[in-house]
Amino acid sequence: MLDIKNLCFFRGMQRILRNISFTLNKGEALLIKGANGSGKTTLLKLIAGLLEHEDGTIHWQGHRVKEHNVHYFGHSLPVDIELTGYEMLHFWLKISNHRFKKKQIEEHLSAFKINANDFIRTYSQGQKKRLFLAYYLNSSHRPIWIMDEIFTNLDQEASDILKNAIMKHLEAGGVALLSTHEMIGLEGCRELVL
Amino acid sequence: MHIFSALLKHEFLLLTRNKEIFFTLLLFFGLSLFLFPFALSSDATLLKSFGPGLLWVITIFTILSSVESFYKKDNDNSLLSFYYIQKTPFILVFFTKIIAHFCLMISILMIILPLFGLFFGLELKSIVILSASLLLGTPPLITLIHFAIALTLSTQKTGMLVLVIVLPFIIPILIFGVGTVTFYETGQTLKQPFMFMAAIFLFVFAFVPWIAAYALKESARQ
Repeated sequence: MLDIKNLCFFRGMQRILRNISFTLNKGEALLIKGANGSGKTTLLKLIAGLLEHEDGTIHWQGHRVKEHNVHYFGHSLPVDIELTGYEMLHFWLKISNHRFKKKQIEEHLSAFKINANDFIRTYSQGQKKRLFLAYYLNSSHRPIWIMDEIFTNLDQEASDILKNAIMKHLEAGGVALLSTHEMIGLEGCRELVL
Repeated sequence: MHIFSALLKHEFLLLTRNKEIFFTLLLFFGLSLFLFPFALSSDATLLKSFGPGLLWVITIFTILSSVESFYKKDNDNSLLSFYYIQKTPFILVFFTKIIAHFCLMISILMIILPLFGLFFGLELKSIVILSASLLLGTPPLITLIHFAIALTLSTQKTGMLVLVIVLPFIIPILIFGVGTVTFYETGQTLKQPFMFMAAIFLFVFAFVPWIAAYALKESARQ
């Protein structure tokens, strides 16, 4: 169970989040909605541990959330445009301690219609996102999935693959937090408006 | 170990893809050394005595001007945050960047040193001693400059701050680095400057990378 209690966050003198509380049981997903600047990304970064919160608690199964609990898909993607899709995916997988053979990596890329040998600088925003998605969905052993604007720039096919993966993750007892401006049509998803 | 090799491979891959950095630094180095003899004097003795100091100062400027390229992109594209989430040891991230930068500098110096000897009229043994001092002096120099960048990464403007932080630490390296050639040419033993440089090397590597790694980790959480 993911338990967030009285979470507050300030940037300088400005209060970004005020007393945010919610609980997500295993198998539940939360859709975080709100206008630009309402603190959606900040909330997700706080849960991922990428920001330090001033007040409140963030617990998973009764303990403080650790980095190894979180599978994070951020707003900006950690891509190096000088590399090819294969080189980038290979690097991400190695850094996150996943060992795949060359053929397997190429299969992951082709599943998302990414040409392994093309340089990332030639990719569109949507293709970069699909590349990271190829990593994200093939290294998904962590229980808390955090996805910031993940559906933006994704085509229907990639969106459907992602939705299926999220549903499988929830069925396996994980939780998912998503921020979005769009209607994504994820079944049984709770909403939090900031 | 495989994370270290992945990080190292990644840094070298980026260096080989981004050849612009190499050629810009080489051009800066080459032009500086080519122009200084015209600006200073045609007196061979004067050039010979100024030469090593000049090479060291240009080396420092070259390292300073290229260091940001090793971090800016990682910070902008949130690769540091990715490392944080993946629990990648930031000490390894820091060391791989130092190794890559050192190799970049050494490859430039290998091209520049013969030309430098020619322009400034240094004999072969002086160049060998200067090379040895650069080999011993550039790793702590690069480490200190990377350390300063790591400390200031979360601030918007790093340039002046980096200079202020590293300047007091750079000066001893510069003095003893240049001193090796002066000691040789005045017939003194080389043991003293090289021992001092080795001491600086050990001191820097004993403490600085750990603090820098902590600073990088904190930058990932901005």
